Amino acid sequence: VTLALRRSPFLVPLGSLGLLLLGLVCWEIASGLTFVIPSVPDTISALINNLGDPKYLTNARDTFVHILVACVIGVVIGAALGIVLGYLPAVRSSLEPLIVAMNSVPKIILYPLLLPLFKIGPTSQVVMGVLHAVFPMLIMVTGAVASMPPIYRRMGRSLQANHWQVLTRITLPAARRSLLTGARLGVSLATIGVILAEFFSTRSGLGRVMKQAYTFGQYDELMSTVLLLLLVTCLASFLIWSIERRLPE
Amino acid sequence: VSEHLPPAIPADFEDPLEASAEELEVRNAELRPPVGPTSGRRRQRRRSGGALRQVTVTVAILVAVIVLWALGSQFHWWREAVLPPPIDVWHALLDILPTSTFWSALGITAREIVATLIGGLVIGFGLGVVFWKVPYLGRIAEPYLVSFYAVPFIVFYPVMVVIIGLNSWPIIILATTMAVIPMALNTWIGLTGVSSVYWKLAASLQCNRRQTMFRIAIPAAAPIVLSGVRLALIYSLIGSVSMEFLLAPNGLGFQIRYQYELFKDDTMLAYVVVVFAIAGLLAVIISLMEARVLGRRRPL
Repeated sequence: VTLALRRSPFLVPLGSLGLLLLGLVCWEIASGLTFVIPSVPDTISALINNLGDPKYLTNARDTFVHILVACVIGVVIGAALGIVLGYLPAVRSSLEPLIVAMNSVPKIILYPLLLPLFKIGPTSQVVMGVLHAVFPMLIMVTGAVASMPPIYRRMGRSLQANHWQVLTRITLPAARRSLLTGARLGVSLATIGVILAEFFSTRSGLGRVMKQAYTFGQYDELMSTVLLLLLVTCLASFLIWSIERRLPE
Repeated sequence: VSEHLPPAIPADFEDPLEASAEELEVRNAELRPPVGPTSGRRRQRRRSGGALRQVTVTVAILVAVIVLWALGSQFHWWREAVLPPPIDVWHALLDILPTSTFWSALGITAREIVATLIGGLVIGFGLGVVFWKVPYLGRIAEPYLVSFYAVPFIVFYPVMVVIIGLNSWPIIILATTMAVIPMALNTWIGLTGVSSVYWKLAASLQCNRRQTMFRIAIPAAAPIVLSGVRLALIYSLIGSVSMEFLLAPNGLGFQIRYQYELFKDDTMLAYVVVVFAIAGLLAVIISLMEARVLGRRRPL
């Protein structure tokens, strides 16, 4: 197989495409078995209909803007704290248990506590997204900075680089792979945070659209919104991954 | 994918050619895949100072948070509707502990977590081994695995509830899916990354397939596989409780939301405290497991 792979570079994308088709066929068969699963063409046409509907587009724009803002804030805070902790081994090892425990807390249970502080609306949703996105980033960057070979920093010192130069020329490039992985997880977790918050209580957004579609039994609407979210997050994560893959070891 | 490769050779490794026979014996014992209680104890002794400090700092921070919370409530830094005082939450916690509502909610959540964990670990490990044995399958599945790694599967939950019904199964299925992906990816990467020296070692020791797999490949891949296990554990807790919070017949997540809607903030916070305690317990289990299995190897 390895030889064949080397000889024709199309075999892998072809196989991936085949897997996708297999998935679609399974979905279509499942939709024939029960009425609650909308068929593939129905879902796609619902998606296209929705994308032509200005009201739906407003909802989608709100949600994606919140996800983007939450992701950016979460990634920046996570990376900054991660670099600081990575430089301070004593602080890092003492805070480690708390950070690890916080990472495995389902953050959505804090949402009822956030509501009186930030009111129902964009702020509380973004805060929820940030809470979800920040911890994996923090853990990953801390690990990367801490495991950076000490010779890198010694080299910086011997070249008489100032702190800013050490940060931008040495630390960040050394941790870039973890930064990208953290950002990839950040997109997904910020989406979870924002959607869960919207699902719980909000005036606009795709979470609300999904909740309404669920309540009124509009399953093609529900499925097409889920599909839209999956496609967008998959695309974002795939893009980040292709950058990651191209980095030299 | 997410973690770094540990050094295959311990940091304190010296050239064995310069060592005497007895020293060599000792070192070989240390170089063996460190499984079992001895290596764990040795690591504990080496790191006991660090562990003591970790515990002290953690407890100190928790105490500080509770004191600040109590002071804030006492001096009305915030309204009581925002955050009730800790003593009220403590009383609420004592009130719910003997109730059957609490135990059935805890039981349901625990069952979901355990089912998810078993499903995620078994299926994920199996898939990882298959992708490793059949590289073509691995290559064609890679883009999906990697992008699904960062897909919010929770958004599928309402669809699954419609298909399966409002019970524990949609939660278990989706949380298992979330747990399978990092487990499969890490098993696959861990096994693929096993240094070729180890395969040569297995061949020269004339290991059979099972010995090669269980004595050499799995211990060598253990650090990376373990970080998959850790993610699977985290996802099983986050997945179950979050989905219960959205929509469920029972469970800890459901109780938090239910008490919130009844405006019983004290009871709600008591349930939140229970979930935090479970998260803390899982963190302790993870670190004990890593200390034990990784033994003398450096933490990742």
